[in-house]
Amino acid sequence: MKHRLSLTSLILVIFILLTLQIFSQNPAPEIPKAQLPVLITSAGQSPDVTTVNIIAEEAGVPYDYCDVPTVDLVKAGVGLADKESGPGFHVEIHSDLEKHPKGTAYKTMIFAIGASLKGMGASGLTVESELKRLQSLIDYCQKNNIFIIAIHVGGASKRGAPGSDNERMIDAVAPFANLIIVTKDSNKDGRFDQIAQAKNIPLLQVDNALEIVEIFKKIFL
Amino acid sequence: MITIIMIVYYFICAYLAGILFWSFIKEKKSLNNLILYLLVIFPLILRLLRIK
Amino acid sequence: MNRPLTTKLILLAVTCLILIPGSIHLYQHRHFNTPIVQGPGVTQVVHLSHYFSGLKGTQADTPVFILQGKKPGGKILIMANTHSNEPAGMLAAVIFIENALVQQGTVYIIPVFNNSGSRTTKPGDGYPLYFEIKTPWGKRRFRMGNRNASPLDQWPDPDVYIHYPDRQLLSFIDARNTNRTWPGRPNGLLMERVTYAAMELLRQEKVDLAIDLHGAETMFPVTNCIVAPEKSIKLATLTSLTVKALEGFDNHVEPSPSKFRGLSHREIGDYSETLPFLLEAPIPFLDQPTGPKTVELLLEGKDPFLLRLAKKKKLFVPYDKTGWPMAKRVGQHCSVILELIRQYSRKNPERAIKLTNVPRYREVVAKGVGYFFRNPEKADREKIVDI
Repeated sequence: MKHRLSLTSLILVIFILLTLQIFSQNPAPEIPKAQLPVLITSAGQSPDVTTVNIIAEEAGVPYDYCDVPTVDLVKAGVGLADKESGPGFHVEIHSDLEKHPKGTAYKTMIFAIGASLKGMGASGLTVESELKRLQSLIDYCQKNNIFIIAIHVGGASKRGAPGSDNERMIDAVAPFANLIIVTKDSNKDGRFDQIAQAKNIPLLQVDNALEIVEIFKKIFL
Repeated sequence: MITIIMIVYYFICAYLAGILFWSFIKEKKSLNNLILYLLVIFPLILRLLRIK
Repeated sequence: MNRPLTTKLILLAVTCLILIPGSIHLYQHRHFNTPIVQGPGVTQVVHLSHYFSGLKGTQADTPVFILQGKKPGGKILIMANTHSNEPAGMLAAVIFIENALVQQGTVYIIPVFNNSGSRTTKPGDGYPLYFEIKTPWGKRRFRMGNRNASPLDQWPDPDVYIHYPDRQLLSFIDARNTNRTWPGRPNGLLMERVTYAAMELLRQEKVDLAIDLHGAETMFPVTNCIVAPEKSIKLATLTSLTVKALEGFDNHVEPSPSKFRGLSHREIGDYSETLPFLLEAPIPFLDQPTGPKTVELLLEGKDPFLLRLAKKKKLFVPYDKTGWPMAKRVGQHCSVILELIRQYSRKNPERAIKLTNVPRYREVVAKGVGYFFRNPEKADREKIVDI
């Protein structure tokens, strides 16, 4: 009886110790889950949004894409009201229409951050009008509980001095995101760490953009 | 048509080179003019001989 | 003594002394050929005039190497020396011709796309006429050409070049630039006929991918990149991401402007089913603020003035004392081509292109460009083609 008791207590002690050990370890950054359907868009009209589209494709995540959606277009949900691409306006519909028929409200929006004057010019936008558009989209997402993912994969070429176009795009989106994903060379100065810490937003940093494929799989699938 | 224009240009080139050479022969006083004629004839000859 | 006659004779003699040796150099350069060896993968060599007879007998006609795999599949056209003063692409093309083994699909290679341009130099720029690449069996000599075709083959230049068919007004000099004359026309200027012949190749052979190899200044933003129109941009981006992840070099993607006409990456896409790509590797030799335009600068890409500009962050590529050696540029071209092929084949298995025995970036950098060249002296005569 005595033996049995000591054995039980020993097992119990080991169990407690193991549990403590597990919980005392630094947990790997938890990857939050996001739901489909998802709309990918650009914050600043740089070609980096193509990178994000490709990452979604490689991860097998069905998505809709519009480079310059308005709040009304986002409200229209999956299919983006059957709008067609034209000069300075691009739409792609890859959502699974059987699971999410046209008109289904988006549950996630991904913003690919990076300013391109050429890209904005092609869409008839200025930095100011792009920022205004982004602000209205962020407001809409927050009011409607749409999960916001901010991605910066452009590296140093899509960063700049405080107040520059690229930094203003970051300010317009990243602090309001539910998840930030950046490449290492986009975050050399730790700017995204600061935003994530200040706003308590999960931040995932990768060495190169292709690693985001695996992250997307974990987030969406 | 393009080939014809090109041939015409070669004739113009030859004509100019001829004039320059004739001026070179006719020049009696100015050394400067003699040198100038030869300098100007230079690219025309290169073109006529299809070198440059 | 007739003084003027003596003076004239002396002046004429001096003129001939300058003219004749100078002319001999230029004449030899125009008629110099580099013998290259058809590698084991080459199944046929035709000329571009095979696709459009309007080029036959002109200096613009140029060899097309065909490497056909036993298994049918997709098709790719690789063009180099569109601008013959950007020779890294041509060296990469020669590596493909002399080494590639194609298992599936067909590879078409035009190593000297603007043949006329490769046989002239830019007056006043002091460019070298030739450059040599060291190989394990000696040196191989290539012509250093010009960006535009020789006026000996297309003359006169118009006051303004009106692009066909969009009627966009371009600089007069671009009438001889085979990266402004796409998609060309059968009865146009000679360079328009060159691009028309290439368009015919793409259309007749139903080519899936077309890659135009270039080099660009380090001070020019469109450098070290893949230029792609809307229809090719995803493949280009995927390739760019993959080479960065797997091989560690940057090669960003630049969208092809839709309103700037005449460029291969725009017109090939608009006037055929082919997906076009234009690869730009940095070439410090072409930057304006460099020292003398020597062969060493061309091959090593080292320049003290560029180094100072790099420190002031005026360049669009990383630049240090190591410069931008030719092997790095050629290696990048090889890797990006192979990766574009791989990604396209992955996405389109029914039109896959499979080839082996072409080195990638790291191997070219480690072993040098010349390591992959075959010795023409040891090859069968019928296997040698002059380019």
